Amino acid sequence: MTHRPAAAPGLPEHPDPHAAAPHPASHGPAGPPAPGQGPAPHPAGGPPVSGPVTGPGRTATRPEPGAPAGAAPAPPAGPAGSEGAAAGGRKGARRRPARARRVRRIGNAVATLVIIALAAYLHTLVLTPDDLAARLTSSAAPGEVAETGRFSARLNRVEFARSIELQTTRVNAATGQEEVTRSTRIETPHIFVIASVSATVPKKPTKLDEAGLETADDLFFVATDRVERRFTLGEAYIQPGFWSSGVLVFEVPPEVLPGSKVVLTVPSTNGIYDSIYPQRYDQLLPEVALDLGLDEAKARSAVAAAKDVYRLKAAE
Amino acid sequence: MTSSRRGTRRRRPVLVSVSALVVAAGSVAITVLGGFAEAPEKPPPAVRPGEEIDQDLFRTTVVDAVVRTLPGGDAGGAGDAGASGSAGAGRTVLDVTLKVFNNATSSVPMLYLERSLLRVAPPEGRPLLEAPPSARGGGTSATPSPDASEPAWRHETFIPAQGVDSRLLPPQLTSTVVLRFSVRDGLTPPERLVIDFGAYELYQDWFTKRTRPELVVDEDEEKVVAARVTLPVKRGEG
Repeated sequence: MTHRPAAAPGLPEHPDPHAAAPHPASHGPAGPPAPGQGPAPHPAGGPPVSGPVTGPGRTATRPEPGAPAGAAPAPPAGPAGSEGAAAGGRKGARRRPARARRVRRIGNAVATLVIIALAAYLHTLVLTPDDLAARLTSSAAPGEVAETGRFSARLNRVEFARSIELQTTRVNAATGQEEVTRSTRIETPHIFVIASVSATVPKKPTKLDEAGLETADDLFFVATDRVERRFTLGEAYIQPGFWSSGVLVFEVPPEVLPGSKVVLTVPSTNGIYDSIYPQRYDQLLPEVALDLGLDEAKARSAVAAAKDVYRLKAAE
Repeated sequence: MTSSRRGTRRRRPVLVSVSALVVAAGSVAITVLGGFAEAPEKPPPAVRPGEEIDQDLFRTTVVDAVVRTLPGGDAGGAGDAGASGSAGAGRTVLDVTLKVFNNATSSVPMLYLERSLLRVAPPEGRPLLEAPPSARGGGTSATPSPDASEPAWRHETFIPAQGVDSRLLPPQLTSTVVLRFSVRDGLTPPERLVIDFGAYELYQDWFTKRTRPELVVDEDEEKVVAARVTLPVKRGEG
């Protein structure tokens, strides 16, 4: 009962639930005096004084619920109340609120500025539309499986070469022997990265979309077009129930290798809508990032040990 | 009206005559300066061969243009894998060599560079390559010849490399790109070439707010020529 007057001038409402428990309890025995005494201290002395004035005998029960209520509006309430001098408390109450108000105003201003600054800062963290629509990436260490809803992939092995011999083969109908019908050697001023990758799908067969090598500085090298897709995993359908394996070939400068990873995606299932409305429906496609597991030293030694010629075979 | 009523002397109404004079003088000035006809467009910025052209997506330098005959066997410029198909020994070609730095963070298909070649033409005469005027759509196909009597120029663009050529521009690297015109019967390579380059800008889709590179266009959706390079065509034999 006395909490309510005490709480009301200070901060509204929040002590209420707190006060709810003791309230009815104290209401029973001390019910009648409350209406009479409660209003009186209000106009006279204000909140802080009301406590000690109304109930010197009840101080023991009051402090706990009263404390949170009284703490906010006026710190001086405590000392004034404890002294128990009604007149002195009144004078103090009149003088101090002016200062307290000024302090509170400054506090409010500071709090406002802090909140505005925080809001401005938080705006720098807002994702751009490009980021919001970016692919959902699932990563894996070398040899481990990265899983997405539409496909899973695993990096088995990485090799390096300075040139690649592309051999087109055909099975000779007469002898049943496989023979090389055409052979092309491609060379690079950079380095060829040949990643052996296995992939499977949970349900629906799909081909892989353009694979890429993403470097530590977020450069994205698309798998080289100098090696036709029939030599790589890009051409094969990935089927449910078993792992399809193949290579992906990238042509990159050796210095981008540390920290880089092979990124695989599957084409969107939107059909022609992606060409009619580019970028509108192709958000959040699944993506797998397979770490090559190369640091500076490993990359250097791997490049130094690169093969002169790497052979890739494919049927016509 | 303009003078005060208490004025000691009546003022003459000069406003009408003065404004008439101003209007007349203005009309004369406009007539002298060419009337209300639209001012001639400023010529696109001329760039010399060897100077860098900022296309936003690419930084391009035109190196040279050479007419040459491909050696038999054609090991180097392996157009075999490409579109032209009819690659054979003794084929005469006009090669425009470019150095292209890909400014993007990912590999860019050659198509983007081809689209930015708005026009390749001799100073006078029929263009060897001309992009369709609309802003959207690929400017990759050969120029359709207006009269069927004269065959159209065909071209291909590639990064020459040992074995198989590439048509992917790797990110943040400079690639040597060859724009090759096949010289066929009835076509004579010009003495000089004028190449118009467009520029890209990051275009924001109004609906998704996502961005992608698109060629810069003016108010009429015409592609803007960011740089015009004029260079002589050399005659080489290798």
